[in-house]
Amino acid sequence: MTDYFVSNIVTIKSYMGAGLLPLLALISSIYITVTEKKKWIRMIMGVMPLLLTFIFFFPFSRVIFEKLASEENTYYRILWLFPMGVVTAYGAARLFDKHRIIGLIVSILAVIVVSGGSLVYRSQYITKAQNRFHIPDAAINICNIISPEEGADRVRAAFPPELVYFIRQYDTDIMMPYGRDYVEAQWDYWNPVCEQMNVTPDTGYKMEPLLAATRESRCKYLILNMSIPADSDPASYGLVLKAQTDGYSIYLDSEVE
Amino acid sequence: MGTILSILGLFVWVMLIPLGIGIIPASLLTDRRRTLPITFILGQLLSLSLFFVISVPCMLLVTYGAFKYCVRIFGASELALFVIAVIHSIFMVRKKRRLSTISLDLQSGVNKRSLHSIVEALLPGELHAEAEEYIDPRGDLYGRKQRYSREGKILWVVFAFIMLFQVYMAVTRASFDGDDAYYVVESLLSYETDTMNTILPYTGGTTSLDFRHCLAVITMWIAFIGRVTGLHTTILAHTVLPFFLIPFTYLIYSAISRILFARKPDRRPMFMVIMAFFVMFGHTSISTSETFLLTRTWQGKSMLANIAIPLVVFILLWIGEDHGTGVVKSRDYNPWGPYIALILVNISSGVFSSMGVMLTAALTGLGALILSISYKKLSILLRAFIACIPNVLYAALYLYLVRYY
Repeated sequence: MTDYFVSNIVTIKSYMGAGLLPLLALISSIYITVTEKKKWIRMIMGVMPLLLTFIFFFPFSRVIFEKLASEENTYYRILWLFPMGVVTAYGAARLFDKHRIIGLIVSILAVIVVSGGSLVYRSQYITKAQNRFHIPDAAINICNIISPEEGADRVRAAFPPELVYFIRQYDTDIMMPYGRDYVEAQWDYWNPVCEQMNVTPDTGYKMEPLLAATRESRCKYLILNMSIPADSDPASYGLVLKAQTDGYSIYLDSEVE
Repeated sequence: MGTILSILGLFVWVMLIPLGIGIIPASLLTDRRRTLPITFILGQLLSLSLFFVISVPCMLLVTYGAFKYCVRIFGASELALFVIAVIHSIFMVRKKRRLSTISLDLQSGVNKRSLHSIVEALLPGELHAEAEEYIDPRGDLYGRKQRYSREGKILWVVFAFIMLFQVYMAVTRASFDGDDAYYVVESLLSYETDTMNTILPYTGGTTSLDFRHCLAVITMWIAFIGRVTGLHTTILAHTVLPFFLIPFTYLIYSAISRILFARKPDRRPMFMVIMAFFVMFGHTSISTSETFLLTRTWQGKSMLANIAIPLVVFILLWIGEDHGTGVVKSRDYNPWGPYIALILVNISSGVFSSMGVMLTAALTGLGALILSISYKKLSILLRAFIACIPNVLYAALYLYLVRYY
C-alpha cells in the first residue's frame, strides 16, 4: 500500500510538472467549501474536489484503477475529474466580487505565476504549421513522389524514424515495414528495418544489412536522410535515385516487385 | 467551389443538424434550461450517441465496406431526426402561438413578434427578463437571462478575443503528438478504404478488429465528417475541428457559469477570462486536461477531459440547483431532464475513449452521492445510477469483445 501511495505522489508531481496549479485549485475548493452559501455549489465546487483529491491519494483507488483500466500509466486521468480551472476561476470571481477588474488582473497574474509561466505555445512540441495537414512538408513531398497511381497496388517504403509518424497521416496507400510503435522506447519492439534505419550521422547507414532487411520486407522504396552518410554507394546495390527533396534521397529498389 | 461546399457541409453536419435535433431532448426540460447552448450541446451528444449505436454494429457485423454502411445509415438517421425535430418545432411554435394573447398579430408574415414567439417556443431560456419583471416585487429573476453592465460586455469581448487567439493558434501552429500516428490515421483509413479498425494504422498491414480502441468511435465520426464534407481527415482533425471544439468547450464552461452566477451575471465574463488564461497556462505537464485541449484537441482523450467530464460537472450543478432552488417541486418540472442529458454524456464519453465510461461513471456516482446526502434524496442517486446503465453495457460489451469475439 505504501508503494501505491508513493506512486500517487510521483504521479501528482509529474502531473503538476513545472507549476502548482492543482494546489491553487485545491486552495480554491477549500475556500468555496468554507464560504459558499449555496449548498449545491459548495458540494460540487468545494466538497467534491476535496473528496476527489482524497480518493486520488488513497492507495486502494490506484489498485482498483489499474485493475479496470486498459492502459498503463494513466492513473493521472483521475485528476481530470477535478475541475481545476472551473474551481479556481469560480473561487477568484467570488473572492474579488467587489473589485472585479483588480481581482481579474490579480487572478490572471496568480495563474501565470503559479503555473510557472507555462504558456502552452512555448511548448517544444508546437511549431509553425507548414501546411494545412500540420505535418512536415518533407513527408508530403516524399509521399507525392512515391504514391501509387489511382487504382494501382499500394507500395511499401522504408522511412527514417523521424518520418514514420507522418507518412500515413497523409497517404494510407503507402505501407511501412515499421511504425511509431517500433521507434518509441515504451513498447520495446524490435524490427530489422527499424534497427538499420535508426542510425546517427556518426554510425551512418550500413547498406548491406539495410537492404537485406528492406528487401525481406518487400520495400519498393527506400528513403534515406541526406545528413546521414552511407558506408557505400546505394546505386552499387541496384538502387535507383528517384528524387531528392527536403533533405531526403528517395531510392527505388528495382529488385522488389 | 469545393471549399465552399466543404464549409457548407461542415456547417450543416457539425452545427445545423446537431442544433436542430437538440430541440428534441431540450423540449423535455424546464423553460429556463432550454437555451441555445444547452440545446446545441444536447444535439451534439444525441448525434454522437446515435453514431455509437449505428457504428458499432456496422463495425462488428459487416465484413467488407463497413464504413460505407455506417455513413449511409448514420447520415440517413441524422437527416430523419432533423426532419422530426423540424416538425416537432413547428408544432411547438404553433402551440405557443395559440396560447399567446397576441396570436392575432402573429398570423401574418415574419415580424419581430413572430420571431419572438419562435424563440419563446423553442429556446425560452434565451429570453431576457422583461422590464416589468425587474420591478415586480413577487417576480423571480433567478436563472433568467439578464443584461450585462458595460464592464460585463467589455469582459465578454476580452474573453472572445482570447478564445479566438487560441483558435487562431490551433489553426496556424502544428502540435506534434505521437498518438496521431494511430488516431488520425484510423480516421483516414476509414475515409479512404471504408474499413473500420481492421487495418494497422502504423504500418498498413491488415489485422483483426482492434478491441482496445474500437468502441471509442470518435475516429470514425471524424471520418464521417470527412466523407460528407470531402475534407481530408488529417486536415479536418488538425486544422478544422479545433475551430469547433475549442469554442464548444468554452460553451460548456459558459453553461456552468450561468448556474454558478445565476444572480450575478456580471461575474460570468470574469470567470470566463480567468478560465481562458487557466487553459492557456495549464500546460504545466503533458498530462493536464488543458494541455490536451490546446495540443491534442482532435483526440478522443482530449474530448473526454474537456467535453464529457466538464459536462458531468455541469449536470451535477444543474441537479443540485434544481433541488436547492425548489424547482423540483414545480408542476411542470420533469425530474428526468438532467438525467437524460447525463445518459447522453455517458454514451458520448465512451465514443471519446474506452476509459471515458469508467471516469464519467465514477464522477457521476460521487457527485450524485454527495447531492443525495446533502438533500436527503435517494432519488438523485437512483436516477444517476440509471443514467450510468449505458456505461455498464459499454463495459460489458468491451469485456465480451476482448474475451470472446
